[in-house]
Amino acid sequence: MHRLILKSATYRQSSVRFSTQASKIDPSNTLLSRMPGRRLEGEAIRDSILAVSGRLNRARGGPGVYPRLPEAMKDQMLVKNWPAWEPSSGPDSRKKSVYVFQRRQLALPLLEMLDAPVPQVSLEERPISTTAIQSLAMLNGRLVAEESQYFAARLEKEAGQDTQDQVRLAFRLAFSRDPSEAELRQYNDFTASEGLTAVCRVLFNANEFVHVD
Amino acid sequence: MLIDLRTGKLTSRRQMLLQSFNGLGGLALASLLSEDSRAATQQGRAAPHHPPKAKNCIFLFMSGGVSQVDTFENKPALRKIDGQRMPVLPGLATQLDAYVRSDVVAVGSPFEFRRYGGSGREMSTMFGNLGGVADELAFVHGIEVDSPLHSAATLHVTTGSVFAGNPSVGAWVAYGLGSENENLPGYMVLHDRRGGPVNGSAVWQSGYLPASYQGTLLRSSGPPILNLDSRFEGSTGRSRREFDLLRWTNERHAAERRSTDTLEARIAAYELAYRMQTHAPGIVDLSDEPAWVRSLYGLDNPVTEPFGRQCLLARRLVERGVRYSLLVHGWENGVYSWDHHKEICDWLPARAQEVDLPIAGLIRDLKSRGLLDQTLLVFTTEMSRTPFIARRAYGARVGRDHHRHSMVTWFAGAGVKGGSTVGATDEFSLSCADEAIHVRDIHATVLHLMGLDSDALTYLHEGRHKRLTDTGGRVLKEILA
Repeated sequence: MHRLILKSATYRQSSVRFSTQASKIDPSNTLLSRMPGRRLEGEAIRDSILAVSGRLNRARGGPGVYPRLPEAMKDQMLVKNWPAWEPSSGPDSRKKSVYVFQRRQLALPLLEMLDAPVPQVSLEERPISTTAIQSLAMLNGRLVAEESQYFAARLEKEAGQDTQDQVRLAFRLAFSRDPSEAELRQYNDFTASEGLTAVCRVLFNANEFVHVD
Repeated sequence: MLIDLRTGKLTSRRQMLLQSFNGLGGLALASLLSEDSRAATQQGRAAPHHPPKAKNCIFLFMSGGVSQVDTFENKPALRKIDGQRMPVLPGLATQLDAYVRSDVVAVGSPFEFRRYGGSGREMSTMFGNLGGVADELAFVHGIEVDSPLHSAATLHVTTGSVFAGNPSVGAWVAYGLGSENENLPGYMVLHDRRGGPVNGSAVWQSGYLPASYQGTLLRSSGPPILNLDSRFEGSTGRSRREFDLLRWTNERHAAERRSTDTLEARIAAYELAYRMQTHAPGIVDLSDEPAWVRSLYGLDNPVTEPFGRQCLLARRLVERGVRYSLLVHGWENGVYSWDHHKEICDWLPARAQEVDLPIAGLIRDLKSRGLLDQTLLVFTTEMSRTPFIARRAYGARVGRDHHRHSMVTWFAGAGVKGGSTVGATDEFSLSCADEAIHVRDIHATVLHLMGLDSDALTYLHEGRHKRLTDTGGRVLKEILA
């Protein structure tokens, strides 16, 4: 059934390139004349960040990932013993989000902010919300801060020292496309003044990165 | 039309499918029918059902189970039989196994009570400062909670259900009314510095509602909101140039696409995040509060300082248009909460002392600034405590176990008739004396004062239009102005 749905022409439509006729006949897309654009789930965003920085551990099974909680949560202990658990380190901490340990009283803030459901109830459809708290987590939180540094190091290693080459590879890895001339110019200038890590942060935060067409 | 086999009533096919929500057919149809309305409701209603009395709510939650007969409910009859076997009241014997046991004896309150204010409100002298504003308070006695266990009862009072996973009261309010201040989340949580309540974030989560309605923790020191300050996690801050490049990138991306609502919402969220980086730290910077205000909240005394700070921050949030503030006092259960099984003489006065002055200060301060007319205060806990003790378990020590039939809550502020009372318990505070009041009535009253109808505030989940108050909820008109 899933195979049938995923391989269908309907499912494989784009949300961007579709005929003007389709939008006239089916303006609210009730006939599924195009793919509705959507934001990725929090888990997929985390996995994508790790995949693009080149650090995703694709191993299956094994012990769960015990995430490192933000230091800022420490003085407002939510559990009687801090730390709540010994955080995983090394490649074990970078497995896919499906392996992230869930404690009912203490959700991983990034996933919780990105609408991950509470584990106690079933949910037939996950809501997608947009908040400034999410933006702060994506801009200033540990995951994006750390992985942007690794992403930048990967670019320097794989694209060499030329800034334009680095920007080109960054776009290919993050957006699966080449930058336009204008983008290349803007990002090139930005890299010169703000550094490559800041470029990586911007790409991870871009709508294009977290939305599927 | 079809005939419903259980009720014998005629029903339309659509109704039948919708009602049989256990069936897949019902689920699928309910989901199809609601697709459009859900798209609208996910953004929230952002409009009251009727003109609200209260713009803001400060919900004061005392974790652990405040003993009603030692604080706000004087029971002279209980003192008279102190140390004797409890008289067994009809009806309750089957519900309360513990209290018909032979070693169970009555415990009269060891604390002094006094009448306060023009209304003659009787309260323990532990709450002498609160007594000074007694005429602002409206009491609800004999509230039924669905569980006598900390975890379930806390969830019941904070989310309307003993089962985890449901939206908290503040999330329902945020969903129903939207945010008043675009620079801050509309629902903020300040909990005890010693630690959070039982269930942790389940107490302020959004459950099946979108995450935008969940409570945001406001920290009392350091950056007030998680991830607000990038330097906290070891890097050097996000420049305006970085925000500008992101905005430029996102706007080009949106320009190539037709359906841009969520894309534009996200662009706006980053602008708000940038403003929050600038404005939010000011909320917790109390240096602009004069000395007399600080002492009004007890910030000059180490005993009252922690909760005093929570209360003062709550007033600052009201001033900044934050709709709902949840203040939690007490760390989980145990002696640092209100859960006193066998040491009530030592610990209950200690807990009361921590909150009495700050709460009275908050009420006075709101009133003097004209904010009490638009702010609702609710003081509650998760359950009541027994008027008796089991000697075999506790020896000669004085304390009280969990009880779920006689919780006390008070309201104050916008739309509330100060000095009024609704509900009553029997002479020993074992259970309600007349009409039962339920936790859902408290919730219905909170929603009502904020302009929301608890019957009409629904969200489709698992094929059901769910409510905070489930299938009931009576607005307690007796205590409304």
